[in-house]
Amino acid sequence: MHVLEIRRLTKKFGDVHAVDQLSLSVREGEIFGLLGPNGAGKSTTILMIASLLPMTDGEIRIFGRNIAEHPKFAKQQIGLVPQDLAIYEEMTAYENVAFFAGLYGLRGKELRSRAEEALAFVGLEDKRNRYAKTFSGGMKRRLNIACAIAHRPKLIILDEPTVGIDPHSRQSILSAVRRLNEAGSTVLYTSHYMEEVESLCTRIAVMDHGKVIAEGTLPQLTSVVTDRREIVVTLRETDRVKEDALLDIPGVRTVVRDDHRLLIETDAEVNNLNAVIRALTASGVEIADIGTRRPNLETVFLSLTGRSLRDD
Amino acid sequence: MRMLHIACKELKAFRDPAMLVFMLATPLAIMLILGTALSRGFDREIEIGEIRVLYRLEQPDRTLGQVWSEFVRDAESSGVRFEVSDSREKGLEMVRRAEYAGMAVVSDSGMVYTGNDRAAVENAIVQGLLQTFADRYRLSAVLADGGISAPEDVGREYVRSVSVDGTRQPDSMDYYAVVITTMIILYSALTAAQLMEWERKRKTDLRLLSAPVSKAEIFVGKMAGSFLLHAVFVILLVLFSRYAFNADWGSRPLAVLPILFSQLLFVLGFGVAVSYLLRGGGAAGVVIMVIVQLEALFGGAYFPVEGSTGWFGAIAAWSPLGLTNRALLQVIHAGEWSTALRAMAFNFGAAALCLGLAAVIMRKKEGL
Repeated sequence: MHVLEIRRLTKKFGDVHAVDQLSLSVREGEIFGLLGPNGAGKSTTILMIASLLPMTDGEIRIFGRNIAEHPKFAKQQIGLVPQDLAIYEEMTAYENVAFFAGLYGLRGKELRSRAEEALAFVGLEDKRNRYAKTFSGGMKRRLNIACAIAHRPKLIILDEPTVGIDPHSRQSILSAVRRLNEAGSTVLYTSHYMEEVESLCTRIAVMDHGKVIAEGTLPQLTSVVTDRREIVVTLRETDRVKEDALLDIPGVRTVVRDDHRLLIETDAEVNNLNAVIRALTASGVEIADIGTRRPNLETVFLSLTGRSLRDD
Repeated sequence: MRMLHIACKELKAFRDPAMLVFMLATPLAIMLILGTALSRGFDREIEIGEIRVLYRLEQPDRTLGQVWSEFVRDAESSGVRFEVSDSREKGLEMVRRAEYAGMAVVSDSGMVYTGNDRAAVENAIVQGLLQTFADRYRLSAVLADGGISAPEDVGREYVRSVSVDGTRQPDSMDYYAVVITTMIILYSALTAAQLMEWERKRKTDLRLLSAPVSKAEIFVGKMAGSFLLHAVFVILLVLFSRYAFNADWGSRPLAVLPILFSQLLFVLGFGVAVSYLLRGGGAAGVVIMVIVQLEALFGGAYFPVEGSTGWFGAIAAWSPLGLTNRALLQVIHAGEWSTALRAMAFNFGAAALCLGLAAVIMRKKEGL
């Protein structure tokens, strides 16, 4: 059964298509990943699913019901974890969760037990009476999730929930998402962190410029680029890199700079690693690290768009 | 039910120390400072010029008429000019308008003096003179009757004075307890302007709108919560100033609450309407702050504006805050409700207009 179906969804801001004829579906029990660089249209799509932004065209169905015709029903099924922290700093952790759960009609004993349950789920049960303003960034992120799950939504939408937090909190959040899914919730997870989506999601849609450019499971997506491999070079500085020289090497398809890294996509059967090192050395750059890796989502994105996921 | 849930959340702002300082500690401190420091300004030490008094002689006998004429001549040399009035009604109206300090109606059966309370000092002088007249008339009457003694208490009871409006003048603490309370209510417009803005800034608007709650429920819930919160502060201000500072809020202090609450509703509506008209942000705060400061000045929050003339008086006469202050002072000190009803009608009408405007703009707007 499809929890979420999106058909030809379009959102225009003036002449700009933020989302362009996007279609996808999410099945019950999935952790569906929406991957794309900043500005790909992921958050705009999420806002339209949550009825926070009117669509220009298209249709969204939650459990088969059109959200334009049944907005209250759709909202009752969804738990939204917005990209930005959306909590009341001057209220305690418990008060935050209880307030938002109360908006979904929970009252009395049921409200209290669900709020406690949600806090326990994200590991904040012992901090229930502390004001949110005293929390660390990671704890606030976890509270942000607790506020969205106390009413036990069937579809949980997490929009970049791990932005700007430490590795420990990130692991804690990813673990919470897995447990939510195991508890029966369907998850729609957006991120521009490839590693998160790879490790978490059962199915993935890659977005760019408001469109889905690839969709499937991780093996399905990477199979598109099994004839490729990626040489990843870490440099002290990239200013002196001569990309033309690298592109002249047999087998090299694309060269992308990503901070101090150089991502070189090359044909899998051509052994050109030594040629790459020679070209870089000739340019006068200092190599800190070099290696090759199997195709992953970044390779997929690179091969489909010619850009890195982290490009602005 | 969800509106009530949202309203209850707004009440949690009561725990905010900054809110408590602004809504309670600050106004009480201002009341105490102004009420004490400016008490001399309410002592009414005034320079007395010529005092003008109306009189009517009603069916006087010869002796009374003669003695009265002599009395009037003598009084003029003391700076009190008595002028005859055509009719009792016209005379009282002129006293009410403060054209004369008072009016004396003299007859064989006694004298009734009606004074304007705004000329309390002048009235005291006139009443002293009238008492002298009464004594002189008693003496004349004794002489005219050939030595038959008149009852000894004639002079004492002969002059009976009444007040034209009975208004008790507030002292400085009575005055500032009222006007500082209404001024603090006025400042609530700033809080109201931030009501939705805070949700937008904290991104909690996304959560509110993604829940199965309509915009109207959020709007009404937040406004109701804010109203209740400020109403509690207003009640505390009234009670604290009444029992701690001994400020006069009338014999039943809670009777003035409907007037204060009508002003609060108007002010909250005004704040939220300006916020929507100027699309939130800092502009709404600046505009409201300027209006609040001017209103406080023209409405009498810093000093009494009653009787002001010229352009200042003209603006003060149209000040909504001034109207509410006048209404409260009249209810408290004279038991007079006509201005209060006018003030409440204005406040409720303006509140309905502002809230309606804000609701229409919010409905058309994306988000809160």
